[in-house]
Amino acid sequence: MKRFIEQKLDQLRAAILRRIAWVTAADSIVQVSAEGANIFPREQKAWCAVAMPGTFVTTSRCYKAISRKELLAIVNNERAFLSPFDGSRSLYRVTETDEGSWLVDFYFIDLQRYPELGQIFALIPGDQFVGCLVGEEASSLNHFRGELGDFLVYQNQSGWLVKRFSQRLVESLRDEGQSQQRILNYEPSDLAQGLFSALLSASFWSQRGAVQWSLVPAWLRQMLAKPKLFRNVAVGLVVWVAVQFVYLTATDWLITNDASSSADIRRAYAAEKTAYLADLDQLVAMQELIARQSRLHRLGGLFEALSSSGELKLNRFDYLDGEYRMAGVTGDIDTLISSLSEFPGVSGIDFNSPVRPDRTGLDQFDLRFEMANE
Amino acid sequence: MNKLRVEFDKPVVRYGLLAVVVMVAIQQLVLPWFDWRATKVAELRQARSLLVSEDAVVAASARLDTAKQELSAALSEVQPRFQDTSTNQKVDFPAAARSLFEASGLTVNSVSAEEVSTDLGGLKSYVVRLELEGSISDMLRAMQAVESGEQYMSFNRMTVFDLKSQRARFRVELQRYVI
Repeated sequence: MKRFIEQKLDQLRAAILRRIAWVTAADSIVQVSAEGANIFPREQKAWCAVAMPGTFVTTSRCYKAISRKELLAIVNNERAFLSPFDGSRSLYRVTETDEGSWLVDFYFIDLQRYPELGQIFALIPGDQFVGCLVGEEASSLNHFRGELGDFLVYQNQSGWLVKRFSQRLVESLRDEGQSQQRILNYEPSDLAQGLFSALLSASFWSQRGAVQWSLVPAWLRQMLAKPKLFRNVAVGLVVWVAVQFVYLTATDWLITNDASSSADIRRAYAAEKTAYLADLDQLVAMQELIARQSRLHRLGGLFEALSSSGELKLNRFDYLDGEYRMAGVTGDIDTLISSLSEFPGVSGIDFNSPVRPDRTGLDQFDLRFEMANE
Repeated sequence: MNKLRVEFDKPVVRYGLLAVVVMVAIQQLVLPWFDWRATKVAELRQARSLLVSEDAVVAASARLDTAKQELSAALSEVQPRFQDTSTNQKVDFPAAARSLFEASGLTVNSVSAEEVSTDLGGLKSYVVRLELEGSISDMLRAMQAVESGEQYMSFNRMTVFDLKSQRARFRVELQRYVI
């Protein structure tokens, strides 16, 4: 049963994928399948196209509008104004921000470079699917390599940004303090997976900018010419809802089945890992204790070095958690300090009180120091 | 029946009923469908992000086995110093400390012991405080014996009194950690 559902879902995905054209920065239009990426057949008509980074110029603007209708009017006006090309296909994606404004990402594609895209009904920017590739292995700067192009995915304050790979961009990001880049390979099917997830979860409002409305009248005319239009539309809607329902339910069932079928292995692994981490914790603790174990037996050598440097009488000697305190009198405090600082491992010598001469003319001192374990 | 049919033939009634049907359909079918879809997609995304494939778990288990072997080799080198061989550390640890200092020629005037709490890798910790009397050289010998012993022991603090006299007095605090 599980295999049957998986097989049917794969067939459905493959059938839809065959109708989607992927436009790459290398000026090629490809078709993605389980085997990889191939040139899109000339005789086949694409339902929609995905434009990968490098094929478009993008800019983002933030707008405040009292209604979506007003926003659409602004956006349509801006599309014509902002385009850097003479003949361009302009797309946009709208996101509502927390401040009550609208963030609009504009994408402009040069139709002189890609004339075939002028007749495609829906054109989706592919940067959102590259962003889906970011997983556990990703770092803050990632270089994704694959047949649909090389991309840089990096993190900034607003989230993940996707750009076409260029050495100059990598260097400028490094100058801005981005960490070492991580090189990750992707398969075209990974991007296709991202496309399906995005389409299933996307709302019409967020993706309406992908549709070329000027193509709609011709499309509508063709549709209206057909008999039994309303029945076909109703059947189409029901089928679409049914397909979504089956897809989501089957995916849910597969994930649950996967999790439950290997639950014993997961539980055993979790138990082993917990025990391992406890042992590791204990090893680290023991190694730390050994590293900071007191080495008071080294005091013998220290006293010998100090007494050979001149007259020395100690009145008090204390050791407390790594710090040594010593008070007494000496013939010459400079010689004592010199001998002390030359002893291996001694550091942080400081006086607790000023050095004063006592009745016999000797230097009276009270100092502290630390001695590292050798 | 005819009256009802006449009523239905009126445009206001017909389109009004149609509007009611559309509104009920939106409320009862369309909106719940979109809610269900959005919830399901969110759940699936979360489940997919949490689910690690069985192959990945098996591979991780193999890596864990290797790591465990390396860890047990490292533990076998360190653990003997922290093994608890006694039945009652509160009694045995002060007795062992006393005999160790006495073997170095020092006189033990008082001993007290207590268990202290620690968050170090599940280890238990005991502290012994001693008051001793003897020469500096005897004390240095005792320090050597304490710090190089098979069982882990460390001085937390040490104070030396009466340094000018032949027999100085010492107050020391020793700490031991056991598994």
